[in-house]
Amino acid sequence: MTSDPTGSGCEQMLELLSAGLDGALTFREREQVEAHAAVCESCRAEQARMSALEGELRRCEEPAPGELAANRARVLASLDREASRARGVAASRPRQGRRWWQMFLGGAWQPSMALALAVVLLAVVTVRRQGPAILPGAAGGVAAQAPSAESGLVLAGLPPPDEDGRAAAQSDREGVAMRLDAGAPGETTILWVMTNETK
Amino acid sequence: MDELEGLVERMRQDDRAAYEVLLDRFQPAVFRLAHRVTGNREDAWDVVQDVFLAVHTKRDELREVSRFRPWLYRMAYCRAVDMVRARGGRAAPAGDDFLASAAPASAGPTHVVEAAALTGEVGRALAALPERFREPLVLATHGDLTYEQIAGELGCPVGTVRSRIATARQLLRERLAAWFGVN
Ligand SMILES: [Zn+2]
Repeated sequence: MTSDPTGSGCEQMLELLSAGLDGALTFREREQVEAHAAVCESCRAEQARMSALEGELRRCEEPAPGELAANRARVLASLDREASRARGVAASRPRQGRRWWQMFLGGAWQPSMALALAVVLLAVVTVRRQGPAILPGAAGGVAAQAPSAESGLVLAGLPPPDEDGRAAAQSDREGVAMRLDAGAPGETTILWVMTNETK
Repeated sequence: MDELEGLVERMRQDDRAAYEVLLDRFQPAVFRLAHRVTGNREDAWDVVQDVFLAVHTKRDELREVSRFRPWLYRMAYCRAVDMVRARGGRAAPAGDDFLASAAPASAGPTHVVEAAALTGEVGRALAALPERFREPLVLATHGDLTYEQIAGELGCPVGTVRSRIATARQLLRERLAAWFGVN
């Protein structure tokens, strides 16, 4: 078969030549290809044409170093955003059945012995749903941003609203506790911001 | 467990440094594969970004660390195909439309202009392949995967992968007969 230039060997050669281009031949198969090509001119010609095509097929556009760096930064920034969003959601889950304000007043918010903790209710802010303080968020929910620009606090991960369109979420971050009670569309949304004051 | 598998294992356990090493190492190859399918750099970079975010979010779905490369390149291939479809068509091979219809003047690509036209023709011929032939071919030539790895990803026998890839090359040869000669 391997020495038959006109027989079924030629048929089989197409698949063997292809596999050869991918380095997927066994030792025996490689021998078979070589033996057949040695006596079959048309398969030798086919081998040359397939090699030429392969060169074109495998020719690639190369990424530029600047593009690699830019994409790397883009990917890592997305991951960071994702991670902080995930932290926001985790923080908003009630721990051990506690209410958000219990968490704030004790437990996770227990001050060290040296510090006296004074809780100051800073502000009760009412904003309108659909208003500028409500931002579209991931997974069908919304995120709310404190109205004060310099506070820079974002309450992320507000779950999708219930049937009446109400939703609530809370977040805490470095001495600031926030809770958002979002009313149904048209109703009042209340954003609570609380800070602790250490002396 | 080799070095790559060690990195993948650490990445799966949320090791950021390991993730960054994998990102640096595989970005170029994912880009090349994505470019081959999408035919333009901008889309290819979007694919690279999507794929590496998916590597992070879907890391738990990677059951065996040894499957990382097949898993990665298959995701890249599927994402690239989706992107081309979303754009509503076949891949548009790199900006050579003015040359696209030019038939070769001679049997071989001997001039620079012809070489550019040929690159476009190869891209178009590849884009026109039926999916079952194109996917294993691209994974083999641009993912540098073995037939066994491709068979594992596609869930078919190795012999099927081998014959489909051979068929893919024959279809390309027929379509590009003007460039590479006829039997
Ligand atoms: Zn022959």
